[in-house]
Amino acid sequence: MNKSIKIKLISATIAITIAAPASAFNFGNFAQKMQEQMSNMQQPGSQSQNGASNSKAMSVERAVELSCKTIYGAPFKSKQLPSSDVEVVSQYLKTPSNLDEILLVDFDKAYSGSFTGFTSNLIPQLDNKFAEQLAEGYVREPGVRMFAQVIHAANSADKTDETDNDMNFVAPSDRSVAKTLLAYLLLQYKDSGIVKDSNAAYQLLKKEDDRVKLASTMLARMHLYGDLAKQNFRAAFAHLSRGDGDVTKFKLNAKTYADVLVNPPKGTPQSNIDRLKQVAQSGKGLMDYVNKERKKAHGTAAYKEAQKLLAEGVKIDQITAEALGAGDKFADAKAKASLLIGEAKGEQDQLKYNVQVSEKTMAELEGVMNSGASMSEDSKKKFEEATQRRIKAHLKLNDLTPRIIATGMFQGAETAQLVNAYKRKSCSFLRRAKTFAKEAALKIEPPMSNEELADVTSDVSF
Amino acid sequence: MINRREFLSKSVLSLTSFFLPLEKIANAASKDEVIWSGVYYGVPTPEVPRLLNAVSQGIEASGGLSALQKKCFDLLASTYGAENVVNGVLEKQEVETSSLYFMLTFDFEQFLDVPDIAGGASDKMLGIIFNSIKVVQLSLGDEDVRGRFKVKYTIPFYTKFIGDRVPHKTAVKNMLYDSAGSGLSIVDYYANKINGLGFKEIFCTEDMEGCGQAPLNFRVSKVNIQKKAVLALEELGISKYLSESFIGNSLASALSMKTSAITSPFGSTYAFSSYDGFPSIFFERDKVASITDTALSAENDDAYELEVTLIKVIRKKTQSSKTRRGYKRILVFGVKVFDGYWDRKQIFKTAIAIDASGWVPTSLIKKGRVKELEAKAFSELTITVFEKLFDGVANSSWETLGSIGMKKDKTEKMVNDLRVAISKSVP
Repeated sequence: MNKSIKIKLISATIAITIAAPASAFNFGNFAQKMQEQMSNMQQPGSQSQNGASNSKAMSVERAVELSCKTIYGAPFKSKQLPSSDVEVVSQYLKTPSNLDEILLVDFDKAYSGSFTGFTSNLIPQLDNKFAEQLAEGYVREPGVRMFAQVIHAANSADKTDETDNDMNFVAPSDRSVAKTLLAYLLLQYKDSGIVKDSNAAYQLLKKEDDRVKLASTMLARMHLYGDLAKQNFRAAFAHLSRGDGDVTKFKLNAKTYADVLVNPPKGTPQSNIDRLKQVAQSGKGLMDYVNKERKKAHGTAAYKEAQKLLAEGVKIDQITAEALGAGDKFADAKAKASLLIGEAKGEQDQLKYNVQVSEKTMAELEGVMNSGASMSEDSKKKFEEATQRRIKAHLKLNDLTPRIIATGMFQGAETAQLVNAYKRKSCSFLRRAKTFAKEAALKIEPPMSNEELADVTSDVSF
Repeated sequence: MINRREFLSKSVLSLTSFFLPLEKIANAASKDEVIWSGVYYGVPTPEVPRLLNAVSQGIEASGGLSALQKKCFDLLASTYGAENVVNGVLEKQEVETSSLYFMLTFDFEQFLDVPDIAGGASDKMLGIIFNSIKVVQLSLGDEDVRGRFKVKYTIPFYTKFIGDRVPHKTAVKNMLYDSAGSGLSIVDYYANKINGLGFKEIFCTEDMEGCGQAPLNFRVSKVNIQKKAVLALEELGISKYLSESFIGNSLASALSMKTSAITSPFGSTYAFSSYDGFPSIFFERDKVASITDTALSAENDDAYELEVTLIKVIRKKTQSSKTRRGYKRILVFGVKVFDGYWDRKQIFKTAIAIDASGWVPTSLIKKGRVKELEAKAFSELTITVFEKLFDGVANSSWETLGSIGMKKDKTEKMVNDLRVAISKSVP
């Protein structure tokens, strides 16, 4: 690599690293200060200082977002609705004034039986980019606004199925998958007392059976368990086969096979179980999936770098904790990690220890941020600096896992697992840090003007 | 054995009572005296633990009722002179037509333990006690003249406690005697008010030289909550907090505190007529109870009646983030005032509105603690909107009245009429 290219790349990396907080983790005039610093770090050929900085800042934010996609979800751009959010959701839901709270609180509910709860794992199984973004949007913000978006999509998203050159059905339309997502969300709130028609989810799924795999799978489960539809094994297995697909993607379907094999619902005919075993062992089914999981590779190459970055992570946590006035949380996390790992005898132990400290500290600090911690200007500065360092470390860790595995080192899998665990927590923490920064800048809505209040009082009778 | 007062009053009454109304009878007595008549709960005794639980426990925790009685008596004596004040609580009394009977009642309480939205580990608290100072006159009558009971002054007021959560009785102790954290303590407010009622002036009647027209009085006669508002309150889970009693007491107290107009407290007149209330200080307790009961049951002659209607209760989400939700809260009330002295003519009718925005951490939503926050927010808005109404009317401030949705071009005449009515009701 020649020297000038190398310098350009280093400059770009620095600009990226510093620009990200300026846009995404912005407290008041800090962004402005960052812009000033960046004016000395322009990449050659940029059109304007500000323009180049912003564009790079966005790309770093996007890079973090992409590396954390399963946690953040891709941004969902709200569609214009034909009426208010509440009017839209009233098609399927009752609309008490605390509906938004019910949707938020009950989104975490878990159930037993055919429907066990809506989790992020279901999102890729929708197998439709539009619906996945919609679902990710809902996971990020469960509530009336996003529920209205889901209903709107189920009513009016593109209804054209994807077909091949011979006009054979290939993939369901956005609308079909949105209807399936809507059905799953209705199931999520089945015990919340807000769903107008308890049969609506079943009916939505029924319409998409044989088109949307997740719809067929849920119908299968409903008929299998008999809790949300009449128990009917024949129908259940017919639906289950329609929900078949790549078991690494359509996990609920694979899980349903596994459920039946391991712990069949009462009354499941033995002939069905035997047949499922054959399917699972046929190579495209459950056994194949499990075996693939077992064959995960080992590796070592980026091991040292991982060690360094994870040690840096602990330092970053300490600075962040101090900024949030929670130094005691950091000390607690260290003490708990020592108890759990014991005396660090080697490099691997140290790695585990660092990840433990970071995971625990970040979890505690998220709690501190959730509780509405306030910071002085000095603390804000410290927090921003720590966040910059965290982004830098996070992006470096991003591509480390495959490199570690590729080296074939015997601790590779464990190290990769530790890195992934750290990354997951780091994603969640960065997301929280970002919203925390935004919240610190959010202003409460001002009181209504006299004219607005006069309007409120003008059309009442008493 | 007959005492001096009995002698004087009996001799005068026997000659004049058949012809003279109560004020004239009082005027005819030789000595004007103030009788401290006690502290009472404004609800039946069996209901005290339920409806005035914090107040009753707080009184017990701060020396008991006797300590409060003594404090109130001492304040009366220091204000009007010990020679003019009799402690009617310590010994049974004969009814003295010329005397004025002072009492303090606890009418309603509302205590809310609310989570700290700033994330503090301990709860915050909003405690409100609605009280009233009452000054009455009484005559037993005789074979020819019916006994009479007249409420001369009623001064409702509230005392707030805002701060870190403490046991309710501790808060009440603070509200009774110390700086309540928000305005005067109950005892200080009581002292302040009786200090404002000059001794000579309280015995004034219209026919006496130097006395102007006797003050008229207001009464909150009706509190309505419209159906939509009922539903909204139920959905927010705060029906029991934004109750008719709370609204009625808030309105009466706001009128009294912002304008000094004589105002009957909202709700029960239990303390006047119950055997363990005001009549209990008299030898002829049963007769007094009967007289007060009859007087209170008769068609009231309040000069002005207030009707208030809660029309809208709105809470809407304005902002949202992962951990906080911003809500705007709006209350709309309708207020009517009737001149009830002659023919119950409506002199004031307007809708008033108030709004405020605030954050609610989603962690509190998940913990199911929003109800208390909403109850606090809407309770405070209720009191504030009434205070602004009467403050604006009393001071002709269209800035204040505009801030609760009133328009000068539409309501100026009504506001002027209400101001005149208020001015006639200030002692």
